[in-house]
Amino acid sequence: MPRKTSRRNMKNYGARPFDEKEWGMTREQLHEKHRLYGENGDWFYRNVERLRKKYPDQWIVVEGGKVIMADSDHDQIVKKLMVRPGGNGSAYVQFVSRIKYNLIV
Amino acid sequence: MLDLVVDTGADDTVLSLQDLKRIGATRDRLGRARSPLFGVGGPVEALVMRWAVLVFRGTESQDAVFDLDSVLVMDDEGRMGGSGPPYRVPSLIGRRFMEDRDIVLHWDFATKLAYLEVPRPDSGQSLNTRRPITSSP
Repeated sequence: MPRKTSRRNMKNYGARPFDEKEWGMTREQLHEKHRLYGENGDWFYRNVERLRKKYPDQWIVVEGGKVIMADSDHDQIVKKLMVRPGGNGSAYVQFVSRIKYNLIV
Repeated sequence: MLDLVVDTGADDTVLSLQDLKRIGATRDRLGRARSPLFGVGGPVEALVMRWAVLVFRGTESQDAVFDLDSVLVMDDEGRMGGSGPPYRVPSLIGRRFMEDRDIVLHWDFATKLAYLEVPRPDSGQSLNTRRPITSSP
């Protein structure tokens, strides 16, 4: 977990470098985690039509090119993820809508 | 780790309640925002999370960390009779975040590629966070 930053630093809205001590991981570990998360997300979008049929209106967790959890209740998925041993935070969580929809934000 | 939708139509950066839970935070510890959020679906109550940090990874193993004194959180749980909505509510990176930090948004509709160009005052270089635009799930 990152340590709390002082109010003085909050005035500086610019980017600061990644601090390995603050996050308890090396930059290489951070980049690897991001890379895996990106891969899991890309896998989801490549397979979304197939997933739509298999997991309609369910939350799924994607890791390593497969679905490792599915549940219709978002909070249950979160609880399972929190207690899962061996997870490194790169799992991709997404809702699989039964129907294709347009996102308007 | 979370996906954030870059939304130039949003005044501010907003986290969904679902994503708040994903990062291990709880709604009960947040204060209530002074005013609600207004979107195309109408108003929704908002909470305020203090001391947030965003970490971006760019191309060629660059990274940048941003401190935020606060982030708004959509408090939409009450709308669904005490439970969360049965669909994904996206979290948004709003205009203010990008304006305050002189971030440039590149959006190429032809190639479906969007990325943020983040100024790096320490090095004089820019950090590009490229990610293809993807369709909605």
